[in-house]
Amino acid sequence: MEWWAFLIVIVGIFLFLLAAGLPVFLAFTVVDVLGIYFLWGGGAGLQQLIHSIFSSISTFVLLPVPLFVLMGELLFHSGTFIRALDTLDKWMGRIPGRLCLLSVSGATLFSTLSGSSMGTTAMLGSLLLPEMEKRGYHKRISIGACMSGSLAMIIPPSALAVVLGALAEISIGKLLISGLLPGFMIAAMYITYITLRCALQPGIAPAYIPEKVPWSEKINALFIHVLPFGSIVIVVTGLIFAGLATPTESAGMGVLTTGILIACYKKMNWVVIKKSVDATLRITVMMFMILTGSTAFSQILAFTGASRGLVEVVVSFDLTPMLIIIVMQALIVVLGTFMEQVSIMMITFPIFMPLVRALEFDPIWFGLLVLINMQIGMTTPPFGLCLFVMKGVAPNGTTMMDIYKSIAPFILIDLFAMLVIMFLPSIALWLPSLMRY
Amino acid sequence: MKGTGIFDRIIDFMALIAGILLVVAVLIVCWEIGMRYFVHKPLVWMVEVCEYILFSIAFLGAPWLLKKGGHVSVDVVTEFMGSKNRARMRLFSLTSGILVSAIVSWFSFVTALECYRTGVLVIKTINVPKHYFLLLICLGYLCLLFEFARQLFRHLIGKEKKK
Repeated sequence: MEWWAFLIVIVGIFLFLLAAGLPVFLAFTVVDVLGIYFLWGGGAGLQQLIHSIFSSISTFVLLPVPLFVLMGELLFHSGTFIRALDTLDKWMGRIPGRLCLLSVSGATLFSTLSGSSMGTTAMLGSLLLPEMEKRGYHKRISIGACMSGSLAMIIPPSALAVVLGALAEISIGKLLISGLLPGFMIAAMYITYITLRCALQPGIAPAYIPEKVPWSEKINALFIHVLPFGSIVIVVTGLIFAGLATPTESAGMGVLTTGILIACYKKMNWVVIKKSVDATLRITVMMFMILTGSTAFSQILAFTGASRGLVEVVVSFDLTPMLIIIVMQALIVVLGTFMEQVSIMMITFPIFMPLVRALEFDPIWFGLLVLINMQIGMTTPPFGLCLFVMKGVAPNGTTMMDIYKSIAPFILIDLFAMLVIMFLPSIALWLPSLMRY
Repeated sequence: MKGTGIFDRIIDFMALIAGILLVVAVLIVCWEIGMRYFVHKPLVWMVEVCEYILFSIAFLGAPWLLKKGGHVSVDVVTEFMGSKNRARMRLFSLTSGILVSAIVSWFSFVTALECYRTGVLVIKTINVPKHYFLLLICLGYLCLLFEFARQLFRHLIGKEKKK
């Protein structure tokens, strides 16, 4: 059997199982079991699968994943970040679309503290959307602004960046840091879009006079409720950037600092810990069970010669290297509309990463493009996970179509940002190039 | 959906252990940082203990997450199906779950037994018999098997909650 026939059969079965509604981890395991049974000699091969499952997730580099998620969950469930958002609100003043801008700036700040984008989206949606509706904001702008929580996927600490780095075998520390400038750049683009749209269509976000807050109160709130979060940023991103701590160590320090901070605000209690651990466990187990199928799946693709064959075919085409990258990213965009992020990486990386290296592109730059792509996937209709999170927290009467319409301009901005970084890689690679390790 | 049966208690207990292990991993990492930077005596066993914890968390938590409906799946196609076809797909999904869980739990048991007989160790700073970990895969998939079977039973008698 030719490699392409194997590829069609393996990917075909996998996609069929996904379409049938099997949990993603199960779909991978079914393909693993079938593939290994028929290709690796029945029972003996299946014993190898068990060893492969063991080695797939018992790897230290994945440890920051639950820790980055736990940081965000602690801040979310303790309610400490809500006060920070309140303080940002006080500082906003009378600007057009102030609540939307508050949402984007809050999302950016929270993204520097948390590795989970769904939690940020849920928090912003539930806190700000009712207020926006009360102030007469149109859903076309308000919902999209609240979904900027997906920036957490790019801005460090990002749990998905850790998984990506582990799967693609690239420096996790450098990949995390590479997301900092592009993340802020995308946030700035969102802010520009909101400001321009609100200036051109004032009716979309009616201006109102916010409650006047004395300067002393503003400064006081800033020092008490916002600046202390800087300690988490320093401990996590700062230590990785300075080369003083590994991503795992900084993640551990990050959780500790977050815990101390919440305790200082007198918000730490048993309920907060229980809810945070519960939520972290859900995300971690979901991700890790999918990963248990990763090693075997990659091994099957390699064994059948499908990975190498596909790479050779793509390289043999008379395409410019940049066009190949664009095709790869476009494929991920398409997969992102209906598939979960870790699965996309697991299917594509065994084929894409050797290609990226063969074409002599920087894997960190490529990894960051994939991260932006994953962020787009989280918010792309019809099945991005953040869309459903938003539907769950949005005020009654919000339809999925309202959400789709509102998010569309933000997706275009993300795609534009991806193109900018594609042709100006230094935006992503400048900070990692300054790192000592 | 808080279960009350023995099986529910078992998988809830396994999830509780997974949660405790998660907190333990955080504490170990922080302790190690303290030992490395302030006492200059890094904990050499820290890396592998955390690796084992990560592995254990997945298999202890997987059945609980299945009960909670937390394993992500793609419903692009099934969303557009009629109720009959959707029910058929659900039947197919649950049956596949039962079969694969049975195969993986059986082969993990056989592999664990073989590792036990031949004395295979995971050789790192601390040498740990490999069959412990393989038995954890067996336990995780065995509980997944029961959970899939329970969901199939509920599906067949029409008591499954509509999501």
